[in-house]
Amino acid sequence: MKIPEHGELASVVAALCAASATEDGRRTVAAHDEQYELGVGGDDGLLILEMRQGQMIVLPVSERAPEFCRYTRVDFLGTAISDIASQSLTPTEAVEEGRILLRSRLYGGGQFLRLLRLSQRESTSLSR
Amino acid sequence: MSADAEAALRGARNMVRNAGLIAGQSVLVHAERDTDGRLVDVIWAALAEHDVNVAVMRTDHWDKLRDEPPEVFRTALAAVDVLISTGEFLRALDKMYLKKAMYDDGLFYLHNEASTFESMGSDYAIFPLELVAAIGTYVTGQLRGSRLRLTTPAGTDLEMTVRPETIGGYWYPYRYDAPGHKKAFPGGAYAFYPEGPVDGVLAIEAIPRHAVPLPSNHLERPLMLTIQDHRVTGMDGPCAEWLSDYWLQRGDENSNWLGKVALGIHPKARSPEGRGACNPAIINVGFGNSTQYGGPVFSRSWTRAYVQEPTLTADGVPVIDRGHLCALDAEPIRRLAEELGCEASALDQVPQTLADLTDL
Repeated sequence: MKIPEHGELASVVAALCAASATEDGRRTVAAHDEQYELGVGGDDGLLILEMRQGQMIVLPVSERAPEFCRYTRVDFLGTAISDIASQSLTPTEAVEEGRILLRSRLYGGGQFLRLLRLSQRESTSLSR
Repeated sequence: MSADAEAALRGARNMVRNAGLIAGQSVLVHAERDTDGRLVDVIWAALAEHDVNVAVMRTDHWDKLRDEPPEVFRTALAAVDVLISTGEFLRALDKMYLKKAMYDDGLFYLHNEASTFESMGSDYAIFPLELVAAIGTYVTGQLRGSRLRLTTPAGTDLEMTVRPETIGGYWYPYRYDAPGHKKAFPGGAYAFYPEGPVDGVLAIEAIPRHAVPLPSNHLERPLMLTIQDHRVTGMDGPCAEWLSDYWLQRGDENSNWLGKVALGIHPKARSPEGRGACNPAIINVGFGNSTQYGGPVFSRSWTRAYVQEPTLTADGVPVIDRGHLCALDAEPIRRLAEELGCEASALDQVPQTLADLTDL
């Protein structure tokens, strides 16, 4: 998968790609189809991460399709990305503290958060 | 098997069928000490018809809003794929242990709102969920892109719009297909983020339990809230002091943001056997963290309140008329009910008032 150059967001996407290759990650990606529009700091979205028929693909924001019940906007605020990468913050805690803003409906962003959490665990196991 | 047990098993099968469980999954059914064993038995029997591993755990009661669950229950969540709760809702939006179980560990949480054996065998639980989904889809077609006006006899008069991608709740086609997912059975809650401009007055008639106790959940006269550009800018009436203090103590600058409007679309929803708030005669609203409903504003607080006997119009066309859901009379919905083999009375809406709402 080609990972676009979007600063620290590229590291998030790379981590999610690694997580999606694990057994739990494959199950998570395959759970349902949804588009996640990712952004940093509340500005316009920078890229689309799409789960489609068990595959995770990265798309430009021009392919944003906020379909009924199948779209979530994700904003990383402040140091959320680096804190998640350093394992000092879990994705669920980040949402609770308003450091990841998930504008979500049907699935509550569970698929994305689960994959992000798996990426933390994968990172830990790789570093051992 | 008795006729009552046969009926309750039919309701339980309706729940399990639509959960779409995956073979080999571990399912935990949680009940409390005083939960009717017959209710647990029919849920277990319905689950046993699928290739899943079932365990049942009974615990003592705990205050779902203010207390943490027993440690054994919390620990068990890490070991199962699916949790089915049979009593009080486990407060998925309020409790971090459950958020972690769902989002960190991928738990699927299904809350059974048909909370008694009798309810599980009633037309509330046996109601086809395909029909709930069709009603929700029909309502979505009515609301899509329209200017909405909500009024009540108590004095509510509020205008807003709606973006379809923020519509959710517990009514859509009902199957397990995601980690971190939560559902309610039989559902019938239809929620959306009220898109701006949002202006007018909300005449609040009841407020459910919050972390800080209220003087009274049922208000003797309406609490009048003035809404300007999404925010509560004025309040007058009972519990005004409580609300003001609550936001001061527990909230932040966005606690007063109108972040959710939820309609009831299940014609058989009635308290206490089921979730009365899913009856079309009741509308519930929420203030604070709108992101969980697709809105743009984050808050650490979430405050809920109820109005009753609503009239909701979309570009002047009634969606709810003095508490009656107009979709229930719509020809496509009537036709589907007939195709599904429902009785002629299946779409007759049962009465529900806030005074009779027991799960506040």
